[in-house]
Amino acid sequence: MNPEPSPIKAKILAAIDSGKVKMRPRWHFILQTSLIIVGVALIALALLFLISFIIFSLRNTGAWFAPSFGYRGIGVFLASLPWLLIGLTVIFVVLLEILVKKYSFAYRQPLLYSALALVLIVTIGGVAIAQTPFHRGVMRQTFERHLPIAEPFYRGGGMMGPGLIHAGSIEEITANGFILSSRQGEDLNIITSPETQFPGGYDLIEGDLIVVMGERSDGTVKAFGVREIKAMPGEFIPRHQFPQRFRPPLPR
Amino acid sequence: MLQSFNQLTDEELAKGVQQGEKYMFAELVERYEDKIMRYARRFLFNFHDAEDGVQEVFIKAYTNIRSFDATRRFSPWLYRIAHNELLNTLRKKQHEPIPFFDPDTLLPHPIAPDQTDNSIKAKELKELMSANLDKLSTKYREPLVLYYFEDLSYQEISDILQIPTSTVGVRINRAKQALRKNLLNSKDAYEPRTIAN
Repeated sequence: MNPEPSPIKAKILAAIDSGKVKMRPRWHFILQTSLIIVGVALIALALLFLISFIIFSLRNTGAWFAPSFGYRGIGVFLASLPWLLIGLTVIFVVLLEILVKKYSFAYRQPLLYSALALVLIVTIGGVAIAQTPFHRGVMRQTFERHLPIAEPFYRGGGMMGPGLIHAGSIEEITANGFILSSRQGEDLNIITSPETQFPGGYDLIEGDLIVVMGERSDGTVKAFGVREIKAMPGEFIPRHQFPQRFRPPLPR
Repeated sequence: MLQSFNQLTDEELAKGVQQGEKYMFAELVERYEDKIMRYARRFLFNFHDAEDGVQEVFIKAYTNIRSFDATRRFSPWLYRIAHNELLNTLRKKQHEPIPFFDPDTLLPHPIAPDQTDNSIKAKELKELMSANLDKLSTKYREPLVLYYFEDLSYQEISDILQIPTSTVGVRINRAKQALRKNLLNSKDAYEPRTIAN
């Protein structure tokens, strides 16, 4: 003889038998898991894009090289950082952490470890993408086709700096400096003085890719720092056939 | 039929339920009703709430049984449902806000091995804990109950509460310290102090 079922058991079984309680179909859980995986993939891709874009923008505008000009350069670098994009990156990292925390490989570890691992993976991925000509190619396409959202995004690069950084190539050596053909397609008259810092040395010739730090007044920049930089991935720098060499300014 | 059920593992029964053998769920309820009820009472301290909670736990388990991976253990999966359900009940009653972040889960902590290997000592400890559980907050009470009363491992508790394994150890140790402190305080209140000459 079967023992009398407990009231709880009897209620549960009655609810199941009457059809009030039904099993959710398997596809419901497959869909749920798939959505999480798609969410993780999309956020990870967005993070890779953002991080690589931030690095690309910093290098493209020359802000990346600003700390080599001492404390003033560090200040300019911090002021030039795209804080809005950095904030967006942090939000995406938090979202990604929340999604992966549902899985044992993440929640079994202290939050610090899983968050650091996540940041490390997306940073390495972002740096790797920034080394490729991906963003330069996208930027070129964007400018040629005048794409509505992407064009201002790539033109501004998310930078918020005080406009003290000017990157480009030396077009012509002049008596008191040189003419810089900027990456934005402008010609700027760069004036150097004995106070101008040259952390990479004076060995500059026409066609060299450089970054200049200094306040701009119309088309003239009084440089407090000049240094040579390497070309961006996928960047073509036209070389002069007989380049003129830069002469450092003499002390007054 | 009942005889053959006894030979089946929880996971085999759950697999059977997933395939539509509804009656196998009755056996799972039979096996876990007392355990989940005991857990719920230590969690909620109210018989009626515990009864309603347990019923809801099994209904949720049946509804979501197809999400159970039969290659893993059934009991941590069921306790995870129980944890969520009972925590919801408690929050509704106490109007406790849901903590978004727990600093205990941030940093790694070394796991100290449990020293209570002596069975008599362990039995006394359980009785002492049982009588004083209501003095602990849910955060510390729950891992203590799962470890000492439900005999689950740190790893299983980590899966149920979805917190790092090292945090489970930290919470159990802190719970024991809090109970010890509480006991010492209550002893001080009732026992006259011996005055040394």
